Amino acid sequence: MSKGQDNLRHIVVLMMENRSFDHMLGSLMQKDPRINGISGNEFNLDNTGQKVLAQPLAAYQGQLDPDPDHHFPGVNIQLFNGSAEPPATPSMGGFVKSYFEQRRDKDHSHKIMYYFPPEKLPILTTLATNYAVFNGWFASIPGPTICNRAFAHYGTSFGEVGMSLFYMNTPYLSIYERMVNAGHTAKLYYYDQNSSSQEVVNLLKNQPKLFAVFGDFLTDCRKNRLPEYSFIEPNYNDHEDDDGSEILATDQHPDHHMLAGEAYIATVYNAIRKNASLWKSTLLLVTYDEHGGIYDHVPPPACVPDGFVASAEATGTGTPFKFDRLGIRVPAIAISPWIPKATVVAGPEQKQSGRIFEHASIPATVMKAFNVAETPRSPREKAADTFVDLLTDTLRPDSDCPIFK
Amino acid sequence: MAKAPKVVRIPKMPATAFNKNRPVSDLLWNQVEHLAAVVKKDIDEERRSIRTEGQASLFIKKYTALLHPRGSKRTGK
Repeated sequence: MSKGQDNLRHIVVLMMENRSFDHMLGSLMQKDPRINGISGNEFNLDNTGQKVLAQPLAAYQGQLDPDPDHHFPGVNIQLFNGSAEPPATPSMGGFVKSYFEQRRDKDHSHKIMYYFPPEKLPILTTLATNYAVFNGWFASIPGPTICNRAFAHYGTSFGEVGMSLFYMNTPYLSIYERMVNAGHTAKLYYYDQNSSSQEVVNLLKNQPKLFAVFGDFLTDCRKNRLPEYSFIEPNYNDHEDDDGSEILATDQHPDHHMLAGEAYIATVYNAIRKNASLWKSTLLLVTYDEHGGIYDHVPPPACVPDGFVASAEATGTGTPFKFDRLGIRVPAIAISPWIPKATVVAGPEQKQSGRIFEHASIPATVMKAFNVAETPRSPREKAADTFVDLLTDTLRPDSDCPIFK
Repeated sequence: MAKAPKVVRIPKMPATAFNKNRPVSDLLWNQVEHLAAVVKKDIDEERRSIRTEGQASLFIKKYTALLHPRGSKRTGK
């Protein structure tokens, strides 16, 4: 075990909303060819057969309206473009077609191919280039938010591919319950009561002690009270505070302002970074729940089946789904002073040594890192790769780790 | 003297970014549905467990207070 792993006391996960890897970090390939991003040749065909290249024209707000389709049937079009269906390798050629269907506007449909140049996302790209960026972190399901977030909480969505929930009387406990039952500490921090928690309202009702708000996270960091495992939710909606002040959504879900999310990521990072003992003992993961219908060029790979099957009716594609292939790639960055600068975790582009991660990797990593006693877990979680090994023997000096102001 | 870490500026948001009148997204609508379903289930369970006048009174008080918060300041005597 490395010194970094020996010193690990906390894992913090911040899960944002609805952006693909290429959209957010694909431009970094121009600076570092090890990052599997946009080469400049990636394209889709539009409804007239015109070639639409991925371009660095993404805007902070006002560009992706309506919200791009990311439900199971829509993602199926994005992946396969009406051509060969699974188990064929996805062509990744149907993003423009899928977006065109929503507004029947050819020019507007091209915007689904837009990505951010690095200078427009200084926080996320600074983290990606200073710590470890994953080339092969995929959403768990080619579908929407709820079922994907479920994999981070439970290591499975219990057969769900949509937005319904209520994981009652299910065979696997959430990672928070598993931690607490084993004598560890865990907390889920939601932003505030106006934003609340997504999906785990059953836990909110039955296990309120597992929850706190974002202000508590900041206090817990300052006062060295952070639990061993923390999951942080962003603010999911624009709303007014009790005093009437405006509070922006920070989740980066279209059409929320991207920079509010950048500031939120910076706040989470700084809260850990500015406490010297916490900084040396914490592994922070920043990731996104799913791609939000936005273009990515890497075909999602097959995976271990989850033991559940979603019916043809539930998928809406006419074909059942065995949870045997992953969703579209999302940004994921592991952050710690024990991670060498500019680490790139190879993904499927490296046939032999590349590693595949998905949201079930989160509970799998927490279980492993804190040596939690084995409890029933989904086949997907058991098979998921873990990332605590990114922590090395070498602690980077303070001067080598950026801060945000 | 120790070298200082690199400082990256957090970008500022434009004042126009806030829009609470934006149409509700699928994500938020589902969140509303999920919360409503849990609360409805709660109320139903609570309602079904009532056996005595005292229990009925507590239920009535709780939900009257939700509907008419001002009533809690008046005794009715």
